[in-house]
Amino acid sequence: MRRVKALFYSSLSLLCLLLLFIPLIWILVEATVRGGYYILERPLEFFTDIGRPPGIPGGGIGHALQGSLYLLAMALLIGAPLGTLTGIYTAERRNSIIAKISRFVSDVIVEFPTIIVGIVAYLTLASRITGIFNTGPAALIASFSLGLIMVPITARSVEATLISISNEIREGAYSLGLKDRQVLFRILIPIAKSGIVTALLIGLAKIAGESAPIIVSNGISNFWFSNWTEPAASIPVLIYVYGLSPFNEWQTLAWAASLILLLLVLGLGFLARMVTKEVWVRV
Amino acid sequence: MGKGLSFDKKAIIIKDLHLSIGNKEIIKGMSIEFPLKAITAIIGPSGSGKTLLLKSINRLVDLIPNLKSFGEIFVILDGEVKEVHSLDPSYLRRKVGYVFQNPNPFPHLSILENVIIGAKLNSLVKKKDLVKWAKEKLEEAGLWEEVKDRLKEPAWKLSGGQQQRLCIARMLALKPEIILLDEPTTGLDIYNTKRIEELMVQLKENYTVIAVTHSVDQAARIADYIAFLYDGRLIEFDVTSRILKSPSKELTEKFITGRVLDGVRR
Amino acid sequence: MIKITTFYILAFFTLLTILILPFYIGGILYGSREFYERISFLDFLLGKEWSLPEQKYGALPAIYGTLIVAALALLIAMPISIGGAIALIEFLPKRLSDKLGIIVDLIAVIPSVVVGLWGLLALGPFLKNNLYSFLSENLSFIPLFQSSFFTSYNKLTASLVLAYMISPFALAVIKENLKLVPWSIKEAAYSLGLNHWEVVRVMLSYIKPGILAAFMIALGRAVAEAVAVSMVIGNTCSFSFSLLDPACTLSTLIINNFAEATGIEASALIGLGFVLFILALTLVILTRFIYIKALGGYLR
Repeated sequence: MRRVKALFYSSLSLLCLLLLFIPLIWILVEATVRGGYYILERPLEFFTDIGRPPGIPGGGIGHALQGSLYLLAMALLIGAPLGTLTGIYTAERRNSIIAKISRFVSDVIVEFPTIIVGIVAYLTLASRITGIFNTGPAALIASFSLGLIMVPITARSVEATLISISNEIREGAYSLGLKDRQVLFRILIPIAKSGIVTALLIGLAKIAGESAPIIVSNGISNFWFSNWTEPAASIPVLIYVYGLSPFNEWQTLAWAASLILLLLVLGLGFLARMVTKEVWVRV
Repeated sequence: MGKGLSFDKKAIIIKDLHLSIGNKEIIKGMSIEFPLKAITAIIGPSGSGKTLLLKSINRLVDLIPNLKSFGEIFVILDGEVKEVHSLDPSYLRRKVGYVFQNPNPFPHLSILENVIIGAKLNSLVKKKDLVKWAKEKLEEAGLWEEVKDRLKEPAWKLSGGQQQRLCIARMLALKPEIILLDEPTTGLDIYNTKRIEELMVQLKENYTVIAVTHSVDQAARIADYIAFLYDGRLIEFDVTSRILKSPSKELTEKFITGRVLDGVRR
Repeated sequence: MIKITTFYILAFFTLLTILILPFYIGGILYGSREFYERISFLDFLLGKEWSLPEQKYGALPAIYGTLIVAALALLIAMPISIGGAIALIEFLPKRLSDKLGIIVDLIAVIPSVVVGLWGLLALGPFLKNNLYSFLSENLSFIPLFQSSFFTSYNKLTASLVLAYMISPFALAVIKENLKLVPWSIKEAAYSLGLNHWEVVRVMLSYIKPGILAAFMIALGRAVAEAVAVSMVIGNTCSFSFSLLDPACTLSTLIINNFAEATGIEASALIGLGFVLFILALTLVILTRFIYIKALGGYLR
């Protein structure tokens, strides 16, 4: 009886694991079947053209690709230095009060609803009250929120990488009479290079799929990128809008765009996972 | 500075050094004078403060969090008596070379780059002379013949003993005057241990050498003087033969005959 | 005269990062200030109706929807995560479990909008044809399955989608905790003659704090998720009990309306954001302490 029970529960646990893989496979198959064929059929149009009005077949996600590229580039510009430098400081001055507070703050804001980040960015940068931009929804504000979102995860990963460098290397560098700056930029950072790149990849993977903060701070656009103070199109938002539309052509584009986004994000994640063994589903 | 101290044939004079990490006092008032251009071995059970004493001299202890220390450490560098806490740590550490217990070459640099990085970043040697300089120092460390054909290879490809000699070459490339070695032969085979011991004896021609060692036998083989530490205090300091043959303190005798191996009295 | 050293510059950027938290708090407080000048926070929080055309702004239906959907999602996700973690750590050979572990980690990075699209165009219609039709025809005497709607998009679909999104995170935490169970505990259990499964049960009771931490982390994510849920929940605010009825949550109301909202409506949405913010902040901070306590418990 005990053995039957044990067998039953062990199989049940394996079943649970299997259950987690079914949707993943389902999503990949669905996106390939319902979107992939379109990409193969009209690759040029898909990657370079703009969406068509409802009911008219064809069109592409060129504008969303371009918009996403702009949004992510600017977000990296904002978030990467902040996250990296914070990570370096919290690792190299790990016992200081600032480092301790920073670690706590990172752990808190990393779990923060990203939609709230979008709202706060919108309220402070776009509202007529503060009037910093006085633009209404804008691409720059979306980039700003995405930048903030990647800061804590980047900082914590960079920190983990640097902490993993043995203290003897650090002491060795100082024993040669090197200055703080030289120890950091000539010794520690070059050693941690791949880990830091991974940290940035993880940050990028996290924000590349974000849609909520873009929707609330940038709104929805179906056009080519025009200006930082105007809404920009992006792949996640395109999937959201086209997916919810009742039109078959748009839904096809949404699936095709999902396939691209999945490949991008899973690729980034996989790359990061290969470079370090660090679990990035961190708390 | 250092008034009233006699520096006759001395390189380092430590006056009443205290050191604690957190609430734990590790060095409890220590005064030592290290002779010039000789090898002094520091022996004592683990936890007696050997390594921290060594790191106090070139102020590597500054990197340890929650560490407090007071007391004075005078060194002669460039012919002048200087108190280490008044010096720029970068200058001090360049002049007082340090070799660690475990070899720690920089893993991202080649063998050649490891030797020259300190000299290069401190602008001690002209850029065009760097390779020649590296060869000279690798020869001095007795490594040149083994690595001359693989200078571009990453340093971690060397064996443990070769890595340690690389670290010695890296340190020598800074033109130090005093050399501190923290149990440099730990974990090395007999061959490499012997090479490094020979090297240390050679080095005392030109440098003041202070070596922490875990083995009384090693101290007997290489040292001119021996300092015996126990529980954060200097118990005895004398020329090697006298310490080994007729120590004046009972504790010293117990230690060198292997009767106090470890464990600090609380 | 302060000498600007490398570490001062790094400290400056670190301080900027630290400022992000007060920036979030200040921003949301400042943005919702206008709204609370007109409507008292308590009236808003306990308001039973949310209707934009009628200008009725009560947060209660959205809070109800948020909690119901999150609770249901956890009910589904927790057993699966625990089971999956056990399978990975205890029942599969290490090499296979390492590879499968990578795939589970990758599930965590699937963009929520893609999971939402799957729920919207694949899972929802599938459930409607195969499950909901059965439930409403045969089990409608149970209040949970009583519904005047017959739709793909309801609390159950939303919970399933949500459960899938939070499982990898819960699983990761449980997995790490299982790894930390000291060998001596397992040894003691085996020495009592327990079989493999019974030893796993001992381990599970040993890592209870870790499971609680996993629960809290999953709850935090479930409450915060906006896009995927908004695509499959039906977006109709009500207090209906039935799982087959549509609902709304705090974040779905915001995501659906914020971009076009103006005036008092925008303020009301920011008010919802404020409630969500308080909920999330409480959960996150609580989680931190539980998690630290959990790890501390093993390291002791």
